[in-house]
Amino acid sequence: MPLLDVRDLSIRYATRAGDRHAATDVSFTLDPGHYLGVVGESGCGKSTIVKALLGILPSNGRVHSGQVLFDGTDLARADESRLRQIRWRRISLVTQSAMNALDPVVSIGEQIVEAIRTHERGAVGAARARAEETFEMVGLDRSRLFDFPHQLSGGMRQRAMIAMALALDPDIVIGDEPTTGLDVIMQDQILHRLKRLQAEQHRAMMLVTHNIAAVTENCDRVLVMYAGDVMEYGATADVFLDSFNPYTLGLRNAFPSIRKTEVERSLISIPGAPPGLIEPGPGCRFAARCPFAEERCHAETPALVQVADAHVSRCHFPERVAEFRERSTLRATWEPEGTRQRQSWSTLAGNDAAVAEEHAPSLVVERLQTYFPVRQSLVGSVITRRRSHVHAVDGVSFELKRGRVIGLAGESGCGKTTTGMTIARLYEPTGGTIRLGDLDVGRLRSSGGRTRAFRRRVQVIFQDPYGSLNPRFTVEQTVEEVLKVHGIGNADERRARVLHALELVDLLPALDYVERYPHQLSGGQRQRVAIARAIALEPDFLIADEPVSMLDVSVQAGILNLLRTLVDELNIGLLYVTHDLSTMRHICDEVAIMYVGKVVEHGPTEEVLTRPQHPYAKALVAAVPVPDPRYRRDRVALQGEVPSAVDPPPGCRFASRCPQVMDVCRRETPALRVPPGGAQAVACYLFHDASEDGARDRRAVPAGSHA
Amino acid sequence: MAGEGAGASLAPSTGTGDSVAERVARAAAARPAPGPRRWLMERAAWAAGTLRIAWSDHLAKVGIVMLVLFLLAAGIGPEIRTTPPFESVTLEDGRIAKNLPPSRAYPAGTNRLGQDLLVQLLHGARMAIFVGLLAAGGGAIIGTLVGLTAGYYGRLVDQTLMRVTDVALAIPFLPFALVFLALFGPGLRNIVIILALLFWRSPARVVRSQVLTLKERPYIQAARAGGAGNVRIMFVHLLPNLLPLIFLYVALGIGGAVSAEASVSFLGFGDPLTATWGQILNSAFTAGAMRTAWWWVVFPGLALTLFVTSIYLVSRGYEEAVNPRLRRM
Repeated sequence: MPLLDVRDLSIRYATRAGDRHAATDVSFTLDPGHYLGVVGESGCGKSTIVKALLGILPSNGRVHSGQVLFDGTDLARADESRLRQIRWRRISLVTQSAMNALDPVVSIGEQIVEAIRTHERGAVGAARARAEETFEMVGLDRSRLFDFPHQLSGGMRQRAMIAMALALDPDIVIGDEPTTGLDVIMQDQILHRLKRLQAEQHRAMMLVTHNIAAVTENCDRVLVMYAGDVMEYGATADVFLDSFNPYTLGLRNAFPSIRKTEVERSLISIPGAPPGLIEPGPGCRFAARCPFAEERCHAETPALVQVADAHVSRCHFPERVAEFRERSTLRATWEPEGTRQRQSWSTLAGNDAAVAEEHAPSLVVERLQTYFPVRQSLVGSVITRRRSHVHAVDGVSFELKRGRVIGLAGESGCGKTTTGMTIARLYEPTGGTIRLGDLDVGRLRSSGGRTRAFRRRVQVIFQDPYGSLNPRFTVEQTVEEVLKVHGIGNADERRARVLHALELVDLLPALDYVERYPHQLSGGQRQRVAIARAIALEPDFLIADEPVSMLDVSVQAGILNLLRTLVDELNIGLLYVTHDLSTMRHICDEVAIMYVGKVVEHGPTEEVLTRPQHPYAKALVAAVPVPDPRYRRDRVALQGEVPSAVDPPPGCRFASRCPQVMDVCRRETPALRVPPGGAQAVACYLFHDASEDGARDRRAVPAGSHA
Repeated sequence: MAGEGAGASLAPSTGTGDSVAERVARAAAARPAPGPRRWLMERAAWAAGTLRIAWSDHLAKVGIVMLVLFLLAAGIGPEIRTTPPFESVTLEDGRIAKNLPPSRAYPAGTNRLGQDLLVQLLHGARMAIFVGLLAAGGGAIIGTLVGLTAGYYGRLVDQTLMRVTDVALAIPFLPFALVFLALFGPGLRNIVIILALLFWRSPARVVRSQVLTLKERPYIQAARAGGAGNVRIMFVHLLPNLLPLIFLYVALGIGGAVSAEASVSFLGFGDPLTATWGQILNSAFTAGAMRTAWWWVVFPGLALTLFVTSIYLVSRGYEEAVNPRLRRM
């Protein structure tokens, strides 16, 4: 008998516009010791299911029909007191942001002890012993038990949250995006930890996430959801290797992978956006985006069909799966008519583009430094004369040529975004030079004619497409604004140029978009508008700061492909800043990996991502999950936390965590060099001697500061 | 029209046979040009949307109805009852109709000088709206400029302007108003100036704090990256996003300004030749009629109370409408 048996669960939210069918007839089971993954795009009903399991639906949500059977109780209909007995004690939850889930004024240990004692009337001592035990389970030092949440790093807080979820030894632990928002290495550690706990303690777990790779690597079974419907459900390997549903096939195409074999197919996005779900009509929910949809799909809701042993798919045509699988790998299958019209533009743009491009100046960054002063108390500023600085960017050099893409990767806080923003002159550089031809970008004042001329040549695309468009501007006003600022053309010329830019970013037909406001666009469309704004000025360089990190997988691919096309066709140089190494594989010519303000490895994408040399680059690449159930990757365990960038000590920044650290690493700062016979530059003394670094590269070491 | 970058031409070339450029040109021509009419229509649609949200709140509904009645009274009342407000009316026998309680001919009664109180009340409504709009509007403009400048530039500019605002916030209203009016002469114009001078403080603070959050929004960064200068960012990007908040303060300010004007006028610093509600109350007081002629006191008092209440209720509904969490639902 399964531990948890969800039968035909339908959940609806009452809204002003009518009932939103957040989940429709969802069925699955969870056996003891099994690990179930739930994947889907945002708004597909994943979190709604989790909330229903715990009886914590928001006040306008209700279970419309169906059952959630757990230990003889239907949780969908259980009263509050019964639910309270089950919540946390039998089924516990690890949510996305531990910062919000932990009480900031109570120590973590007390919070765990309190959770234990609420459910089990026992001695404080026993509860405390249990809390210490769970702390060790998740790999936290028991001496940190009575720390307050703010004293722990984000990753430690997330682990503390898991400790809390395990404190009562529940039957089921549900992770609802437990690692979203964490860095690659931390994400890997936490997923690994969860998997180990699940395997060792033979516990039933659920992992709810949009990250397909995390599910393929960890879970035994997977539930693929779309628009509130279960699209496919079965063993992980079956679902992702022998997919039956067109939606699963589409997700597989769109999900980036750091591995070469997976990369040989290029990314293909799923056109369109998920439906609204307010009083939906009949028909397959995916029909509007499905390349194989026929009339029947729009008229008739398909049932879940058994396609193989313990493997179901919601599609009218399971027998056509061989054809689907074959055709789904072709770009032409998925991309709508409109997209191909753009080809005529590229040939048109290509006419005069190729001329004299060899001599176009590149963007040269040398030994760039950006420091931010640390806020000090009045007393502190009197006692020490020197102000502390965050060395956000500390000696970064590279050359970005037109028509090339350099990827800048690293964990949050490594200075990659600051580097991009400093080059765009949104931040003031502290030292070093940025050159664009004979223009000294670093010395530009914050406004003025030369700055404006520079801005015309270097444009920025921001991370958050929901925030980077002014909500009170229409699409046309947004794109036209930059033209107005630079005094380009009259009203008619500007309008033509706006339409042209919109066509270049595949917002077709452009006339349908000009009058819309940002809130009338999907995330992907907004990001396209932001890109249109950036290219409307015909810049030579673009700086894109995590341009796809907030978009759904099905949309990401389209934006990445678009950026690469623009780079190739308009001969733009792109600096692509990201924490997601998988996406780099698909778009970058070169990759630079940053760690605490310094580039530790820089070289061709292929080399850096498949044969990383620097110990940190190795750890980072090894931490990226791969969406291939057959692949087992070797993890590199890193100790400790990322050091502070406030007045860092001399030596290699990675020395404190490096598994191969040597004495010299703590004294001297290694320069970025290409080792003999190597393909990429590495800043590590494993590859060259400290004596090889010119005096220029060595930072003055104050006497007495040696450890 | 290609940029000097000699890069890939983004601008559509105009050569013949260039179907795409032609398509764009045709498309551009086919589109209705944006103009003041479209702008007006958009504003009207927005106002209707706001009104619809406000209307769903019952108290706001009451406020809206009351406010519309006041606006009608102020707008067309004096045109219907055309007697000048300070003219003594006479009875049929030629005597001055003084101290008459409410009757069919004089629904609000008359005062000691035989002036028709209903006429004075209607003129008072006009003055109330006039004073309220000028004082609150003027104050909001000053407050917005101060708050926007302080919030946007930050650092020393912010420090200086906010300390000035703090000092201004410490000024008590009545004593300041009395001293000011004693020095510069009583009268409605000076009262409005005082009200505007004292009203800007809280909008300044609120606008500043809103600017502090808005200016960190990515679209402001994006505007800067696009090459927009400070003034452009402040007035083209930030100001439109502040307007709902500013309107809310203007609405709330109208109520405050009207009651403040009434209290100053009641104390005798108003213009005796302008019929405002405070002025009517003042003349009732100086005539010693507060206890004897109830209608002389009750009607202007009631008008004041209801007007300020209706403004408050409407503002409350409006606040709900501009609250981003409740919008677009």
